[in-house]
Amino acid sequence: MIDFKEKVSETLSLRTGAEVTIEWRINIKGVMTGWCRLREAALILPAAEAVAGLEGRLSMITAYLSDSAKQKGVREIAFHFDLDGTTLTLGIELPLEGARIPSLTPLFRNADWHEREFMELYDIQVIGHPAPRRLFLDRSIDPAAFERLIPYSTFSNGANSKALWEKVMARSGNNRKELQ
Amino acid sequence: METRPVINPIPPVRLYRINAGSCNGCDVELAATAAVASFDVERLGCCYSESPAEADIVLITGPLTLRVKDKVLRLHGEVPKPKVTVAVGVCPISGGVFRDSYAVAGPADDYLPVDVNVPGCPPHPRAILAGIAKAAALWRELSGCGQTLPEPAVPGSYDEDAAAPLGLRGKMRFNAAACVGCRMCEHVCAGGAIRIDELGPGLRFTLWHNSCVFCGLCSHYCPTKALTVTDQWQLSHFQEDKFSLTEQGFIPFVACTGCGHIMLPATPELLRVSYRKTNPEIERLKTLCPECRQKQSLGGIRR
Repeated sequence: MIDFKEKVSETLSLRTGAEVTIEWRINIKGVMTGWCRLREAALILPAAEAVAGLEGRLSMITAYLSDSAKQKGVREIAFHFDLDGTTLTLGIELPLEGARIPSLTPLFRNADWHEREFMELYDIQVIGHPAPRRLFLDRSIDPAAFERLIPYSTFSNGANSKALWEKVMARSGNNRKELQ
Repeated sequence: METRPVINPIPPVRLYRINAGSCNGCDVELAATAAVASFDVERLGCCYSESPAEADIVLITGPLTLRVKDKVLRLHGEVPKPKVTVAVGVCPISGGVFRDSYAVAGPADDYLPVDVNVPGCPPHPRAILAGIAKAAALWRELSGCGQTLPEPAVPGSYDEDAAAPLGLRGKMRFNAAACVGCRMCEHVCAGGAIRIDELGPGLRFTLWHNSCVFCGLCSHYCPTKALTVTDQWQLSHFQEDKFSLTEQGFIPFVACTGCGHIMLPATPELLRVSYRKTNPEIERLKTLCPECRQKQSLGGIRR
C-alpha cells in the first residue's frame, strides 16, 4: 500500500515537474481515497498522462462555483480518477473570469461529455477539445448558463403551492374555535 | 315478423377524455371504467365519445403540462356547451406531486372551468364513477334533459356504502390526541398535502385531500400513529368544496408544571410507544418540560 501511494505521488511529481502532495484517507469501510491540489490549470494534462501511465481511468470531472470560493475570487474544478478501485481527486483553482483548462478528451474519451457540459454551464474554456459542440443547450443560448440564469424552479419558488394553501386555509372553514 | 318495442331510449351522456400530461395512472383507472363490467360507465347511462364535438362531459387527467396546455384548451373548447368538466386525480386539481414544476402550467382550474373533482393518485374506479355520476346529474340539469340516472345494475357499485377492497389506501385520518407535533408527516408527504402551523395556543394540523396521493408515508413514519390510512375512497366533490376538503386537528400546548413554560403534551400513545406501559413516576415526569425533567434527574429521584 505504501508502495502504491509513493508510486502515485512520484509519477505525478515527475510528469508535472512539480512537487505533488497527496492526502490519503481511509474511511470506516476501509476504502482509500486520495486528495490533491494542483497549482495551476496547465498541470492537469501531464497529471492525467501520469494517471493514464499508471493504468488509471477518468471517472468524472466536476466544475463548481461555491460561495466560499467565489468570495476568494476563484472557482474550482475537480478531476476524479480511478486507480484500480481507489479514487484520486485532483482539484484546481481557476480564476472567476477567463478560466482556461486543457482538454483531457484526447487522453480519456469520456472527458468529452464532462467538458462539453461544464463549458456550457460555467464560464470555463476548454483548450484543445477535438469537437467542442454543445451537449445539452441550444446553440442560441450563451454559455455559462449556471452563472447567468436563474432556474425556473428557483424562480417560481413554490408560488403555486403558496397560492393554493392560502385558499385552503381561508376556506377550510375550520379556523378553529380554540383560537377565538 | 316480430319487432321489439324500443324501451326507454334515454340518450347516453357522452364522456370525452383528455390526457393533460398524466402519468397514465388515472388513465388506467379510466380504462377500467370502460372495460371492466363492474365499473362500467354504461351503468350510469354514460358512454365514451371519441370526438370532443360530440361530448357532454370532459374528463381531464394530468397536471396540465406546459407542453400540452394549448392543445388541451383547444380540445376543451371544442366540447359544446353546456359541458361539465371533471378533474380526475390530484394532478389536475392541485398539481399533485408535480406542483411547482417548471413544466407544469396547472392546476387545470386556472385555465378552464372545472365542476367536479375526483382526488386520488389514482382514484379508485368507483370514485371516478361517483364523480362521473355527479357530473352526469349536473349535465342533465344544465341541459334540461331531466331524466334521472338509471339505477346501477349492481346496487352499491359506486355508492359510498359499498365495501372497499382489502388493503385499499383511501383518505387519511388524523387523531389530534395522539399527535406529538414532530412534523415528520409534513416532511415526508409526497404530495405536499400536509402543513402544520404554530399558532399561539398550539399546533394546527391541516391535510388537504386534494393534494394527498394516498401513499401512506405520513402514517408509516408517524411515531404514534396519529395518522392512519382509511379505506374511504369516496372523495369526489363539486368544485365549490375544493379548498375546504381538509382534515384538520389542533394540538394545544400545555404548561410545564415545573417552570410554566409551554410545551407539547406527551400523549398516551407516545408513552405507550416509549415505555409500553406507564407508572406514577412517568405520569409525573410527563408534565415537566425537558429542562425540568433533566434537573429532576440530576437531583435524583425523590420517592
